[in-house]
Amino acid sequence: MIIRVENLSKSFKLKAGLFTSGKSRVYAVDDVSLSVKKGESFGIVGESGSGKSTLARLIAGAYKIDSGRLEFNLTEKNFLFDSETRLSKFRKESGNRVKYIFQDPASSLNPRMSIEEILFSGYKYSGQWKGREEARKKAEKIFSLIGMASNIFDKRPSDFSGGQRQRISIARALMFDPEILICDEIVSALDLSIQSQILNLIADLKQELSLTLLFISHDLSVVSYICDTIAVMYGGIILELGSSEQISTKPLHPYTQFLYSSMPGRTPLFTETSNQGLSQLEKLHSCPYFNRCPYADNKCRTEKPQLKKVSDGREVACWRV
Amino acid sequence: MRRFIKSLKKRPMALLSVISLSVLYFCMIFAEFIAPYSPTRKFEDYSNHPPLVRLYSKELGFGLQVQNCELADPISREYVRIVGEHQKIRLFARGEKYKMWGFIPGNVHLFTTQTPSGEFIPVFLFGTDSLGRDIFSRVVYGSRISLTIGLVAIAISMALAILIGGIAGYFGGTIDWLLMRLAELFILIPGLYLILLLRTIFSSKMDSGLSFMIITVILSFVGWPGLARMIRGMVHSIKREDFVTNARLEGVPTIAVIVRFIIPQTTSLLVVLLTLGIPGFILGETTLSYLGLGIVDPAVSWGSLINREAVSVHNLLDFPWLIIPLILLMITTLSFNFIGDLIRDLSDPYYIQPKRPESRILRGVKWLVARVVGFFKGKKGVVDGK
Amino acid sequence: MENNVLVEIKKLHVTFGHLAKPVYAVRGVDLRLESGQVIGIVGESGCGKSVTSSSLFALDEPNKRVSGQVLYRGEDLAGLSAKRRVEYRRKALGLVSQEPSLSFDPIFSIYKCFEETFRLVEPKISKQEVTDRAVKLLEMVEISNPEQRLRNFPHQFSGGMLQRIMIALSLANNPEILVADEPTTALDVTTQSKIIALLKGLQSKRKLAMIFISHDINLVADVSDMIVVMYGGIVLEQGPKDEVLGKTLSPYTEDLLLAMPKDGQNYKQERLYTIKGAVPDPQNPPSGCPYSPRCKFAEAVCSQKIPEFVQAGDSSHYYRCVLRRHQ
Repeated sequence: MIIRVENLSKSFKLKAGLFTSGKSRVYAVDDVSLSVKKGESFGIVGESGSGKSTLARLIAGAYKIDSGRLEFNLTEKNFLFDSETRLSKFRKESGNRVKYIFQDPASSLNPRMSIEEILFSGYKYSGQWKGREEARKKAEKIFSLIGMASNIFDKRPSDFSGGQRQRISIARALMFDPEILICDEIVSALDLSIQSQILNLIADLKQELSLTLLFISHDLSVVSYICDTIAVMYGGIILELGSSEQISTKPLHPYTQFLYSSMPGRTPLFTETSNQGLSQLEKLHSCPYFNRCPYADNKCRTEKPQLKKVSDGREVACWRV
Repeated sequence: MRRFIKSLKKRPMALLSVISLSVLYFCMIFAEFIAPYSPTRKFEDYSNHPPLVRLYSKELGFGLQVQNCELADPISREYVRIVGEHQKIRLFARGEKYKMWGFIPGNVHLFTTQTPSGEFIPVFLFGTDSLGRDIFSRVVYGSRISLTIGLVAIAISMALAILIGGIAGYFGGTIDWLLMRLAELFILIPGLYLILLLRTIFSSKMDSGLSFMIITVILSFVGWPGLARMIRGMVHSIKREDFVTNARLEGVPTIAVIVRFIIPQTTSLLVVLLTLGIPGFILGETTLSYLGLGIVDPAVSWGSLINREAVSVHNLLDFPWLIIPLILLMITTLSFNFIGDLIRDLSDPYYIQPKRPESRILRGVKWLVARVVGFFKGKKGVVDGK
Repeated sequence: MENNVLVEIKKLHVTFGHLAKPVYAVRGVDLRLESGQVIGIVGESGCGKSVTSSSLFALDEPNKRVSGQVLYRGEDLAGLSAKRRVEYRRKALGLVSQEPSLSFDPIFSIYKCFEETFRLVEPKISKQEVTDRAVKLLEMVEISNPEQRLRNFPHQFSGGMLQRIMIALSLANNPEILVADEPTTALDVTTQSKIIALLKGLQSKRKLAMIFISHDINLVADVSDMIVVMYGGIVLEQGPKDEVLGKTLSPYTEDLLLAMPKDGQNYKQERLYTIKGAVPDPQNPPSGCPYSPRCKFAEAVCSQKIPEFVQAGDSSHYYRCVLRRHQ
């Protein structure tokens, strides 16, 4: 297991300032546990507000953990992080090996910097920096790997198209020889005809550099294609976990069933009882989906379901399964 | 920069501002060379002498020259010209000795009438004051304080604003709250009274160098909070941009994130704040000096000049040339404002350079030509898109 | 048959921006919308799909140059007086745009939005009447407690709800044509399916003519009768949806369909089909067929001139491709 997430929770304050009480909070990720095998590509799907991005960013070290543990078993070192760990330490230890790629390359690449500066700005401060010459050589190697010309150091992000920019942000992550790539909606800002290029690139890179992928997307067909394992998130918890094929062909949780049958060109399996999800301003004490679920009974309303093992590598959090 | 120069062509006022500021700053830097006399030199026979430069006389023919004058009426201080006493103004000639910037000795002036022999008719481009000191020389020397105080003060308050605004915006939370309340405290106190208070706390009897320093510091202290709030707002929004998060995730140290990633994004705003802020500080110094709390004799600034000379309407009515420092002050502040405006427009991505409207005649001619050409082409002259 | 034609777009060219660096958004589009028909326009960013549909609104904008004709019931919109054009927009058209949260004024309550919309057509409508009609419309788009919800402000609704309200608003004055420009792109999959179902239901019930724009070809196929595939400012293929999806003629449509991950496809078994290169820059579109630099079949002919629109057999299936004609 290269990543082990145990009972991870994160909530955000709604307001900031000296005199605001910390009471009104948004519970984004609520007691989530999962583990990712080495070399696996692990997908997280969910709607907006499901907590998938927060979970990804927690693993990347963007936020402090509220409670729970995060464990990385990398080839060289093992790390363990919990709510006590300071962010700077977290980033220093794991930062170079766990890389996060953003959704929109237009905003994640500093528009005022040249490609060289973009690639080296973070690399310079890592322990791997061995001078500009060395770094340039490495960058050129990466460029050939991702299919970019090697003479682009002096250009700026605005000189490139969306697909090329996303390649550059992948290159930036690869500078650190990462073991884990966290891809947060990396193709959703791209045109359809470019999407497949990037998806293939990611699949190739994974093979060649033996990466572990954490792939976050709301696009079900993309996740089903690129992932081995899929976790379906809703309302801050994981509702279902299983192999890509199992999830897309035989979903067990009513939400997953509804989600997959809502794809364009299909007919939804049932009608939801409500159009809106539960408020996330309170801690969950029920199934997050109960008010939309047509099969919900009393238990769903009063008790939060936990992930149960159904078959090998298949877990569902539903009282009915 | 190229865009700046290009757009100057379309904004005559901004172009004029750039030119006049360059001239003023050039004069300031080479004050010893530009000014014919030292600012404290008194020509006792020529107090309240009007500006007098002539282009023609019978004796010397055409050319820049001065004519000697004599006091006719000591009560109303009217001068009469003395016939036949003329002297040519020599350019780049040797005159009064000086030390450029305090250490390079020299005696060449842009223009002077002084001769090595000693006897000469002095030249007063802007006239003289009640003690017979050359106003032009005093204005040029005075710009040393008036034109630099704005730059120094904005530099200090900008540095404070970037530091405090940057920290408040980046870290947020309690630090942000405290720093912003501090800034608001400064904004709360009316600026002028704060200046007066601070100035009177320090002794008013000090040498000009020290009082210059004190004034600059006071002005910067009054100036920073507004700037800091603006910078804080920008930093606050920029720090949420993905590329900043990206840098943070990569372990770039916080200081480097602020300096290398966030501050460069605010440069366009900073440049605008800078150019628009300078005239405020120049005016601040003038105000202080005008109230007698700034630069005092024998040191000279535009503010102290205005304070000394523009004291009463009568004084100005009798000796209208004494208003010249005020005009220069106005030109400077307006120029900075015009340039600031231009830079603001240029740095605004939503700003579209207005096309200079074509004159009606030109449009008419174009229309006619198009019609004629269209006619000969056999009515194919309809322009795509009408 | 002729009477059925609501809108006809003829040889539409739209160019934006500066004369020195024009952006060629649309470069010759012909389109016909019959009453009760749903046309779906598919294309990637910058292909001109939104600009084409917004030509129906006949808005004059600075920096926008339009040539060609847009006919509404045989009348050229460019020839209408400003007043009549406004009237046409208010009565004949409804618009559902992409980002519902940005389309509402945050300080207007939903009631106010409806009131404004009704007042455009009936300036003297009473408050009671506004409420009654608004409630009916909200019920139509399946919003619960419509009376109370009318008092609420946009921020109190979720994206899906706002999109429903937007649909209600766009139908408030009983338009004949509904333009839905990426109406579900900002929404989640589950919400999307509900909104699409609602739109489809309303369309068939009210016999609306609709132009549905999306980058998702599956979604467009779900909604519309006719599919128009646009690329680089021109239409590359157009026809009934079964024909376009089943008997694809344009290489671009073919590639687009291939490049999407399909059910059961996984990176372990097979690579995705990729289209090389990038979407053309509308500032300097490629000469000839806009897809030629990326097309796997491209030959020298392709980059010489934009191919003609060809009818496949005697169906209403049209395409632009030089090479297919020889097959």
